[in-house]
Amino acid sequence: MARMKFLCDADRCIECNGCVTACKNANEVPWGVNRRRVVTLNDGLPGEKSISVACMHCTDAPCAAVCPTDCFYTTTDGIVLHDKDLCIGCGYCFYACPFGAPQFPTTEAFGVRGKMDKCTFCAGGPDEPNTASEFEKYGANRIAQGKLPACAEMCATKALLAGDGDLVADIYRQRTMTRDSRPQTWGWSKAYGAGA
Amino acid sequence: MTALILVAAMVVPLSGYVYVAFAQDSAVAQTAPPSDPWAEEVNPRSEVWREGRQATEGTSVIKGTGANVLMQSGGENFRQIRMGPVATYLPWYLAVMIGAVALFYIISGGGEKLESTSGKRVPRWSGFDIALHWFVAILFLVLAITGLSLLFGRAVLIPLLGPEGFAAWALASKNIHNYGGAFFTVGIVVMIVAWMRYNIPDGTDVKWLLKGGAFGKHLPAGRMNGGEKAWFWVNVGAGIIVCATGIMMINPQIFETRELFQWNLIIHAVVAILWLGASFGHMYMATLGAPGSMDAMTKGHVSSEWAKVHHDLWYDEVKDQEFDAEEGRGTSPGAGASTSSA
Repeated sequence: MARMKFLCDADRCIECNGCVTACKNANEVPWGVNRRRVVTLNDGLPGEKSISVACMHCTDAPCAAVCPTDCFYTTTDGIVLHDKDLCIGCGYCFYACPFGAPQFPTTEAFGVRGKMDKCTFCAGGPDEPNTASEFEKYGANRIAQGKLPACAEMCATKALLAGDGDLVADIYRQRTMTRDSRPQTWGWSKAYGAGA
Repeated sequence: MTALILVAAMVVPLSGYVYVAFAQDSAVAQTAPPSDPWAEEVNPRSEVWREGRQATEGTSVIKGTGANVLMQSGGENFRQIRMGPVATYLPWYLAVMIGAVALFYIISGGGEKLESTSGKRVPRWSGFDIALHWFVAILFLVLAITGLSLLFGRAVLIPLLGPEGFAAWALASKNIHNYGGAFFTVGIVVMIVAWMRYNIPDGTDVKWLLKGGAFGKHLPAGRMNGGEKAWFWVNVGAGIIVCATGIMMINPQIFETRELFQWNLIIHAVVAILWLGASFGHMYMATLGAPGSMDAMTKGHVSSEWAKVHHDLWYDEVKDQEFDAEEGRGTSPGAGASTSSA
């Protein structure tokens, strides 16, 4: 079985935020929620680097460990999803997540957190794939349609790679060899463990 | 003398650090400013990746808590502490507290039941005090049940209620806990202000505690004995900590850093559960530990026999307000307990 991973090639990312827009468009995420964001380190200085970051679908996901209602599950593809019918909007997953992935709509009274929303690797949720209820809660289920996440497919410089971790690693290895740069699989050791 | 040698044996070897610190300072002073501008340059790329892992703030067009940080590692500590010691040891603490109270009851057989032979009563708490007590007490129990559900429900209640059933209860718990906590905070603050004056510790309380007043010995005590005063100050300390951390957590728009929330949640859970365990002692004393005490917080007055045994110094102060139980409380002019204590 494939083990789905994200990889952002920081030598290619130009901080265009196309991935953020593609994600919002494909999943019609709630107002104020950003499942993906681009962070630039040393902005405007020599050595500036940009990285697109979303849920990394960790192997031993901290969000799942702290969830009071145990609403997270990992698919056979290694994608970490959650059940919005069980989520109570407590926010603990956001505080446990290394990548700041979980997001909360704050449309209720007193700005109370609504049900958590995060990147699903465009794999929807526990509902029947590609139904209206699944789309409304979790956004597109492109994986069920045989497609990859919209953010990576839309990336103009092909900086953001998504898919089977082995294939992603092969593509990235080839790139670093061709351009004689040092590999930097950003976030992989945190998300997938030391050997990744 | 032995202690002095021991201390010296531990401190003297540390002087090496002082020497090293001085030596480094003078070494830095002797180094001329680098003539080569690249001498102190670190590979900027390695710095970037180090920063990326160390929660260094970058820039992002997306706004939100921590949105400009690539990776924060505080969450891992939060997870390990919450799911480790907090979730492992605190249930044992609660079990031990319940066990200790039960064991004490079995050994001691409960407090002495005092027959009210005279039928005389003395006023102890006003209607306001009683309302305040039960307002805080009921909210305390509601918040304890909902809070424990959120911390331990995953392990205990999901097998009983099923995932959907527990999710519904957990959502209710969250809302009850968040909104109830606001009212509870008000109650705690009023309680601290209203009852502080009865609970200033003095020498009588120290003697009461040291000579075992808590274990059923009847020792001289004023309006509040040492144990009651200790419980009051536990409420002050734990109340301030639990309410302050709680208020910060339900206002993430104001107290927005993730580190603050992580520590608040841990402190909130630990202190609240320690507090709950201590409250078992209070509940025991009010019911089985000293029969007759409950009247103080239900009727507002206690039997004179009870007052003489448990609070003799206070009884001397208020015995002029004594009234006959059968004639009712109306015979006692200005019976408000708040006026009765010095």
